[in-house]
Amino acid sequence: MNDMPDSERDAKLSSVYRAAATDEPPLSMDHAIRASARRAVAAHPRAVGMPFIKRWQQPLSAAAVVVVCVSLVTIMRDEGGVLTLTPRSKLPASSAAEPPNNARREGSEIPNIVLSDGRNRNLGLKLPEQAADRSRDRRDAYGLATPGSGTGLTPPRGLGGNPTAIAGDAQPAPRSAAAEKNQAASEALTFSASMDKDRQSARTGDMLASAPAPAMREAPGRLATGAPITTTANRTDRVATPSATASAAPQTADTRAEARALAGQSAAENAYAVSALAQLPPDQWLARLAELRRLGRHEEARAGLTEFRKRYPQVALPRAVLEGE
Amino acid sequence: MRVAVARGLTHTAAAMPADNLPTDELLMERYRDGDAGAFDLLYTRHKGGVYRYMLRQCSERGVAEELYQDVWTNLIRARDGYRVTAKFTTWLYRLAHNRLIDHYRRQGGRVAIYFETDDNPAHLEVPALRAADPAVGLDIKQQAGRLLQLISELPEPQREAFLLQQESDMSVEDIAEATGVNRETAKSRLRYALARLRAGMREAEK
Repeated sequence: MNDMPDSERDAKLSSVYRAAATDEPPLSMDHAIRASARRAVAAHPRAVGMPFIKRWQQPLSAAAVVVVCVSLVTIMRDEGGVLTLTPRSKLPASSAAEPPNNARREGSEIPNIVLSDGRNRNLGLKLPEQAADRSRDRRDAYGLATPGSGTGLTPPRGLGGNPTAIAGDAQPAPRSAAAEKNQAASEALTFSASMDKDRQSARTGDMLASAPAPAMREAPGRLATGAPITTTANRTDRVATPSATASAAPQTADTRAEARALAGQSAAENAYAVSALAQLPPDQWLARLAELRRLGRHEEARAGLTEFRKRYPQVALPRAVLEGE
Repeated sequence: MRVAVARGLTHTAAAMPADNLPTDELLMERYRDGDAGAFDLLYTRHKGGVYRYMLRQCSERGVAEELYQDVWTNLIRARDGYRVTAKFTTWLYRLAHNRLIDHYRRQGGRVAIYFETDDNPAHLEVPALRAADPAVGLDIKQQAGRLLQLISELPEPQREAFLLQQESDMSVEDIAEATGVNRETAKSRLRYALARLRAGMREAEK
């Protein structure tokens, strides 16, 4: 070093040494070493511009991970938007009485409890098989993918859209009588279609197993095969006492008659609703139609819209009225 | 850590990078990334120093050339793992030092372990002239020959410290890092080497 003290550097010695330092490696060795260096580069070529990529490799990787995570969270949040929390008090009484347990299955154990010192302890308790069946049936009826404590999946709007109505003991939403019947019929269909076959009557099971979901939405009052479906009264009975369905065979005729009557009632009520709408001025008529759409009462809205088009073909229809068409 | 500017080397004009020339560390990074031309420049800068370092440490030229070639071969192999954590010359001469130690070990453990201390006067003894020249006042060529003879008679650690200083313009800290010792040891080795060489040169001039 040039900044070395004199005790660590001797200029005279250095000058003498430089005079002596004339030895150089042989040219053949130079060529061999340079060739070896080129061969090494050729064997493992790396782009000269690699340092830029290497510098940005980790930041880019981290950014990609963040983007993927945010996307996943966003997607999961959007998909999870249909899940609504239903208070346990509004679930069926027998379901609400069960302890919150995510792991309950048929014959499954009650999961560990957490002791005060933080340790888990398995009580070795099992759910009674009948209770486990009942719990699973109820979960299936509500369309729950994963059993959860006090959570329920909101049915599609076309099928009623009010989970508390399914519970049977909940307060009904203020609606017209016809809408109530339509909703009850569709809910009964959903409930019954998901029940185990051994808990249903043979005819009811066959009838419901052949009912595709889109057909249910299109004609909630009837099955795709044209067979009538159960009534609200039967539905609530089954929710309270599933074993009652075992004696459903003698009642099938009555059920069909009731469903047929319900369908006829729906048509009559639609006609009545159309006539009521026809008495309104056009703007109020359209507003009412939009409200019916919003409430999911598409049958009434469709009937009213048909009549409106006949009477006022020159009026442009707002988008809210055309939803679901 | 990136070393900003390579220090100028001592003897060879080609080995002295001007301010507008790339540093040794940058050249080595370029070579690591696939630029063979960078290695050519790097080799041109340092080939003389490394060669003389080996030549002065070995008694036979053939052995020195073999070790010299091994040093550069090891550098080429290690290029993928090169990171700028110190001066390039320190890294290069560390490779040379390690190769030399390996050679000594294969020769039968000829590596002399010296514990230089200020109270160890044995290292201050000046080696006797093998071919004493009665003439007073040697010319530069004769002085150079005498110096090389004195260097060859130095204890190996002292010789190494002196050669590293002269060939690569290393500081005491760099010498310590290249040879794997602490700073005080490197400083002591260098001081004893200079003292012995000065004394030997004075004696030759008499």
